[in-house]
Amino acid sequence: MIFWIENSKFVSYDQLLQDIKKGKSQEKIPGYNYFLKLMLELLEGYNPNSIDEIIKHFIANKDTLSFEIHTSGTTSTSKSIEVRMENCIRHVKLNTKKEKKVWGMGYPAGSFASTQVFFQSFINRETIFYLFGMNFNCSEKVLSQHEITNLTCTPTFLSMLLIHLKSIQPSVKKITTGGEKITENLIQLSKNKFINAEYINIYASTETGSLLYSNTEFFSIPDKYKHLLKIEGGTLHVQKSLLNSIQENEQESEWFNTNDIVEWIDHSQFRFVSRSNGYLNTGGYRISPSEIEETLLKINNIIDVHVYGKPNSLLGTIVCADVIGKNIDSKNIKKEMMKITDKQKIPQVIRVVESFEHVSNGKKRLMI
Amino acid sequence: MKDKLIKIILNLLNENNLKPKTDEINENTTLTNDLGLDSFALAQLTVEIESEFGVDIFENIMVHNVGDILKQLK
Repeated sequence: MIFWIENSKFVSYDQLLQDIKKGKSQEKIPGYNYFLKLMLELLEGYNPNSIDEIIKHFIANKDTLSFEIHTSGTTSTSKSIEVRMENCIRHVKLNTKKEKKVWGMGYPAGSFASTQVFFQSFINRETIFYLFGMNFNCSEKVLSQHEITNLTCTPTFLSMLLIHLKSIQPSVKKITTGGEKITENLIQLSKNKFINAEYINIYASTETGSLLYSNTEFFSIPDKYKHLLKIEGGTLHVQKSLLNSIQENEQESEWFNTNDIVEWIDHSQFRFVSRSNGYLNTGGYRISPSEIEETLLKINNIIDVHVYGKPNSLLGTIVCADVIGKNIDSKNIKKEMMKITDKQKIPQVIRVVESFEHVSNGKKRLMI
Repeated sequence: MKDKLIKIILNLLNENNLKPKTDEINENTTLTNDLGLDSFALAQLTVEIESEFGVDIFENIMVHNVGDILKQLK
């Protein structure tokens, strides 16, 4: 059985099959509707008679099937990426045990991570709860009442859930996080509520999918990836055969620079520090400071802006803006930003200043 | 200290146009359910408090209510 909770809507696998045959859902259920559309895209021209047939079709044709994801939800600039099915289900494990897992997903539908979690549960015909966007008090009820065994989310989602949780959640056996760097402190704090859970930290990106796994904030390159991953110039590089995007794979260079900066802990272990491509990762969203600056400059009375990131224990990085202008204050700037951009693109801290800090080359100081 | 903290919270609520579910802010007031802070507003609160008191309230514990913050600041 598959469950989706969005306004208390539940969908069974039988209902999913009926919706696939009809080519649409009768109801608007945000998380569910996205994945139904994705399934229809993958099944174009194919009329399945059962869920098992769909699963076999996906596995048998994983080399040729692909789908498009739009990264506007988690990145600062909208772009479409063609994702190979093979790469999406690269790490899907077939559950041969009688005991089925119950999934709790804390990623937004449409993100690459959410599609991976979806197919992991779908291929094993397991139950999945769409927790993203749900009231956290309701999430606690779902965790307890439906005995979720596998919680998979961003570190920010995990932090917010921990802030809300009143009771211990013994049913959770595994917590998997990705999309942002995690701190050892958060891993330890999660053990107070998820007393039986193993913790898995995943390094993944839209371009590569899941690549590295660890029980801590530190990673090492496993033997099977020694010839496919390398750290050069302080950033992680990926051999092009591992790239998800078909377009990216047509690039001339054999190696793709992820721009993710690593810090070596010892001769084999490292951790991710930040990105060198100018993006800020705030709560799992990749934000472009220059795009936010452009948006801010559209607001009346703003003359100049400087957007930068500061480390934050909750979001990883908090987006800050120093603003020069007349007759403006942070409240009105936020109010105006709400009208023209997504919430995650509104700087959390806005200071109205008379001038910016400058570095010796005359450029605005960029703090990331 | 408590007065300064409440002033920071009230400024933050006002700036983000948030309407708390409670009339009075005291030690038992929860940050999310009562004040309606989401992850972005909570992150802003950590920055404002760190700027005033020099303490990162989420560094070592999960903070649930105003009383938890005050314990961190002592």
